[in-house]
Amino acid sequence: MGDSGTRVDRTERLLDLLLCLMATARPVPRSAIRSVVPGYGDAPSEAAFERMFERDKDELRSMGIPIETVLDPGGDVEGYRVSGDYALAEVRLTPEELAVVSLAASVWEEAVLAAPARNALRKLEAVQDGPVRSMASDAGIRMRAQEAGLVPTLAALRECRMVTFDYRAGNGESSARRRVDPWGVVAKDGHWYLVGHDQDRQGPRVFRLSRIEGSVTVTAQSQQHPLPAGTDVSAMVGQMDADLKAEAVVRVRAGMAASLRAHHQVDPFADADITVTAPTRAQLVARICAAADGAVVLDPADVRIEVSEALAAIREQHQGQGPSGTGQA
Amino acid sequence: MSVTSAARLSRLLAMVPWLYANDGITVAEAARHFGVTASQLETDLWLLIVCGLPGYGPDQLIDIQFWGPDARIHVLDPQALERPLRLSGDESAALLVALRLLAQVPGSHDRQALLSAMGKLQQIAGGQADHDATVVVDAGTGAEVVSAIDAALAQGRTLIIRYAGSTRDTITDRVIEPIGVTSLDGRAYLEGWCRLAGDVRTFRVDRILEASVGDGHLERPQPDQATTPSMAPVALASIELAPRSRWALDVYPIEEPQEQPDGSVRGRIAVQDPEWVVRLVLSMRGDLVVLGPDSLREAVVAATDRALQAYA
Repeated sequence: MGDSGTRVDRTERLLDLLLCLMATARPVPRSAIRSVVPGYGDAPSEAAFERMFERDKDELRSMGIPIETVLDPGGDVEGYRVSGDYALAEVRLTPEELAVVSLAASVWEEAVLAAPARNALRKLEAVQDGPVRSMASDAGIRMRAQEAGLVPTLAALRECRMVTFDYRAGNGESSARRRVDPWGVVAKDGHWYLVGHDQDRQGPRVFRLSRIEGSVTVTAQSQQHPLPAGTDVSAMVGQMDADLKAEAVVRVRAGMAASLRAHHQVDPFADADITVTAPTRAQLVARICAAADGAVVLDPADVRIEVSEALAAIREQHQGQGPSGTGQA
Repeated sequence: MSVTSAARLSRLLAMVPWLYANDGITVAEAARHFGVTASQLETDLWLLIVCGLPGYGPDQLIDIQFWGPDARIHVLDPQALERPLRLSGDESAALLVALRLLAQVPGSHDRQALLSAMGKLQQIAGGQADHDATVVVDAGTGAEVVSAIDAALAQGRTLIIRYAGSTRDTITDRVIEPIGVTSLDGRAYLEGWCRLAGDVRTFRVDRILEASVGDGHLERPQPDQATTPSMAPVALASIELAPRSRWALDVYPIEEPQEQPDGSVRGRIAVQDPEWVVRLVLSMRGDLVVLGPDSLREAVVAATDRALQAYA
């Protein structure tokens, strides 16, 4: 699929390097790697080889292959090897377990995690007794996860490293560079979120991955603010910016205002007085207005006035005929 | 470029042990299992057979036969790749996150097998599993609701639900004859014949407050008797969005947005249910105005009239 010659060479070189390091339990010195692995024959100079080799080594490590740097007694690099526990453990799955793992792998479909899921399933199949090949099942369960930032963010999370990216906040501001220590990645309400410590804003923040512009860079810098013990990263999504709390006591009518009643343990089929909260006053008013005649503000008086004024203003905007007969089906 | 090499190498590393275990599989079938075309798979095989251990003599190369009339693949010597490498972080996360989603979505999948498979995968992931634990899928579905739907589907019985609907913002008790469950992007949906509506409806599982299994008495008309779903074209409403609320373009399906000289945006929005548009207008505090049709403008006025009565 449009692989250019150089890409084929790189994959081949990576595979030869990996096999070379797996071939022996003894560490392989750099000089031997350079003279033995065919792909490095092209390197015009020692410096060029060093660059290629460093990049290849990082690439293999980023794929989770445990490449050890072995030091000699003098503290110099003696060579490299793949540490002994590189093989997948003998994990036996029952046919039922394999079926559900196969279903899990099919969830990603076209998503950025589709290929890793498929390769993982094939690896698990290869360690079962006898030939096993599960067919993709279709249970109508899909995660589209097209966000390019997802895979590097997951890698940074595993390696406890800081990420940087350009982020466009939801309030229409232009994008700004962010530096974040990742704490968790959450799929919720149809979106993917990164939860972490924002280095510049000096506090915990939640980022929607679809609002990241361009790519996510995994920096070499280790995480400085680790996840505080006992933090529920999922609960943080939707609770952020909650410092400016606005609240009002609202009477919700029987069977109505379902959205305002969420998380309130009251009889849904009776009138009830509940406290409604929102991050800002404007959002509080918007939530209550959206409930229309299902809700009426009891207290405080200024929220009561603001809601009734907002409703009256919307009424005014929609009175009479609309401009220029637009909007026909 | 480096993304491509790594992605391809990951596939190759999974391929050799799998082909070795599935001796004699055809190129076409192997390609399907790896999600590539047959010619891409052959290109992969051609690359594999020139790789091997230092020395690179005939006995040191990966040896795969894949020619002949039936194009069956035989791995004669996998060199060091007889067994697959450990799952990479991405591979392990891809499966574990999807399994966590399945645990929260109702359906016919085997929940006991799901839990035991998750346990086994966590075990082989080792210390990595601690990091994977902070990759969370939150479908917002309650375990009791999920198991009630599972049971109703499996036993062909009705489901009694208390539902917080978003279109009309009301809470209703309904008897549903479940048809099936789908899930998209971490949300789960239940499709069923709703006796209250007298029609097939789709419910968001995270909005089902309570659910219990009812009796086996089903009233749903057979498909040939059922009213055919109305395929009437969806009406479009013209709207205007104030400059400070342009973010709504990212959130709601506003088509053909056109910027006006004052920075506001005019566009069209599909009206599946007029009630939904009225609620959207009310929630935007005057930043979203319906320009037409007039019937929808009247519906907004009527809704504000009803709401304002309480403040009169």
